[in-house]
Order: sequence, then C-alpha cells, then structure tokens
Amino acid sequence: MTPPRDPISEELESLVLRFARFAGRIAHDRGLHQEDLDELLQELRVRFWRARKDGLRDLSAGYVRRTAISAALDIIRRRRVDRNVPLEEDEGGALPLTTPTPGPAELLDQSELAQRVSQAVEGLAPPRRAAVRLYLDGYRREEIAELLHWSDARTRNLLYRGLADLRAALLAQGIGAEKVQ
Amino acid sequence: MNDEELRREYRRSGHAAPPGAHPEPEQLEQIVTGAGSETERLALLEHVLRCPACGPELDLLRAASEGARAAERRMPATRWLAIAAVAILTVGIGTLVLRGRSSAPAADVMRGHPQALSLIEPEVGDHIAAPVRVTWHAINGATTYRVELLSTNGELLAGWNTPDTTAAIPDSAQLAPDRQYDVWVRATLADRTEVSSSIVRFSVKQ
Repeated sequence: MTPPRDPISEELESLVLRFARFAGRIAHDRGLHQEDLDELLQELRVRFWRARKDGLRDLSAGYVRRTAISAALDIIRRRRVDRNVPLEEDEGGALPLTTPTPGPAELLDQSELAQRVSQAVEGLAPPRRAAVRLYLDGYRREEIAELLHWSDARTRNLLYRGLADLRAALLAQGIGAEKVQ
Repeated sequence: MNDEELRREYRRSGHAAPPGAHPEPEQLEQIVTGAGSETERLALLEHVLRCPACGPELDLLRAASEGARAAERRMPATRWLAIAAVAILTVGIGTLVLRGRSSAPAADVMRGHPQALSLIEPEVGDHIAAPVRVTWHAINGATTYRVELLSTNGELLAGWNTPDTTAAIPDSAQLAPDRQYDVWVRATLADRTEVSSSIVRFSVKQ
C-alpha cells in the first residue's frame, strides 16, 4: 500500500469532509442554503490551513469546535452588517439568513385554528414551551435534548407534558375534542 | 389533534419577528454551547424560535457545532499524533492486507478489530474502473455497516446498509467518469455506538 504523500494534508481534508458531512445533514434538515454551508466550509479550510502553517500545535478537538463556531459567528456578523441591520434592533425586522419572512398576504391567510394553536403554545410554562416549540418546528427529540442541554429523560418528560398541556388548552377551547385521547 | 396536525397548524401560524432586540451573535452561541443560566437561554430561544431572522442563524451555529463534534471524533490532538496515527494505520493495514493475501483464511477478515475501521479498497487517490467495490476490515461486535458515497463537498449521494464487509457501489449512484468521490463506512455496534472509517477520495476511470 502506498502511504499518503502528505499525511497532514490528508488528515486536514478528511477532517473538513467529515465536518461537511455532519454539518450538511443539519443544514439539510433545517433548510439552510448550500451557499451558507459552503461559506462555512471555506472559512474552516482557511483557518485550518493557517493553523497548519503555524505547526498545528493547537489543533485539538476543542480547537476544531471553537474554530467552527467562531467561523459561523463571523458569517452571521458579516450578514448582519451587509444588511445594515443594527445588532440591537427594536423592531426585530432583520432579513433572515435564508428563510423568507412571511408577507402580509401569507399572514392574512393564517387560519384561526393556526392562531389558536400558536396562542396555546405561548401559554405553556417556559421549559415545556421551548421543548414543544422545537418539536413542532421539526426538531427530533434527541436534537431538542442537545439544544436545551437536557438529559433524554428530562426532554421526554417536559416534551410530553408540554404536548399534553397544549392539547388540554386547545380542548378547553373545544378544539380537537373528537381526536384527543 | 395528533402531532402532525399540531405541527401543521403551528407552522401555518407563521413566524413573524417577535418584539424586542435580536440576540447578539454571542448570545446565540450561548444557546449552542450551553453557557449561562437555563432561564437566560430559554428566554433567548423564545425569541429565536419565533424570529425568521435569528432561526437560520442559530441553525448555522448548530451545523458548525455539530459538524465539528462529529469531525473531531477521529481527529488527532497534535501534528505528531496525526503523523503517528497515519503511520500506524498505514503499517497496520499493509500488514493485514499482506497477511490476508498470504495465508489467513477469509474468516479471519470477518473476525475484526476492536476500534479502527479501515478501508481496504478503494485507497486514497485511486483512479479505478466501475463497478467500484468498497471493502473494509470487520469490527468486533458490529451489527451492521453503512456505506456512504459522498460528493467532494460532503453531500450524500448514496448510502446503504450491509452485514457484510464488502459492497459494490450500485449503478443507481451513477458515478461519472473522472469525477472525484468520497466514500466511508460506519459500523454500528451492539451497544448502538458507531465506529467510522476515514473518508477515502477516489475517482472513476472512463
């Protein structure tokens, strides 16, 4: 077997590819644009290669994560600046990174049922509300646990109780009576 | 209402930007890293999950964090560890391949090795004719293997599970001549943990 010509290059490229593979899965699940991911990968390549030039002495596991998060933060800051959005804006009118804001017509189309569901979610206790929002937004249970830094048992407990509270609140308004178990 | 109906109505309710300031990028980082109090992070999330501007920013940070976490599972800590790891792997694979070719029966390959999952073929930089066969050393306790074919930017092109330690990339993957691809294998063990091989880049002959 022929050994790789440049073990460090191979290792760095392999690292970036593994990163791309897993980050790409989240980006796909959450509907992020490929350009956002590409920009992140490019930032990482540049930073890793700079580290390589410096001898790679600090390329520990923690370094990779810090570098990746730092690269993402820089992209977010640049996007905000590009849009001329002040970092502290009172109206919350910033353009999204990728997801379009619903227009007035879409907002008018929202059904009364959808509004009631939304209001019932807002009435939940904060920990349960966060779990329920994430769940209804399409996050898997293990992703919810990861994002909220909860154990699986706590996540399961708060999510299921939150969903039960939500159904009870809707039932009190006569919504879903025929389907609630 | 079942979960799907709840999700549909919740999404239909739209996500107009909530009142109040957008969190600073560093505050979004807090959510991902778990820094600060839970109360503080829940308050930040309450904004982010309703805000069409902040939501995708949080997703980008999550992608960065999770991508790094997955990538660093097999990353050496220092330059010298990297060199040592590659050297050991190279010598190890070479020894095993030679041993396998000379005298060991086929069953020895299936016996496996406790930690490292290494590909036998293709090798890094191979320029090979289709059909491309992927072969790897077995892992002790593996219940199944997943082979994944990726584009060079990490996009999943094809993936399939097999209990065997060799598999041909199916025609449905439509490998294009002279284009580069990456392939890797992940073993799922009985305790549901995973062991992954390195990613091997190869190209296909015309």
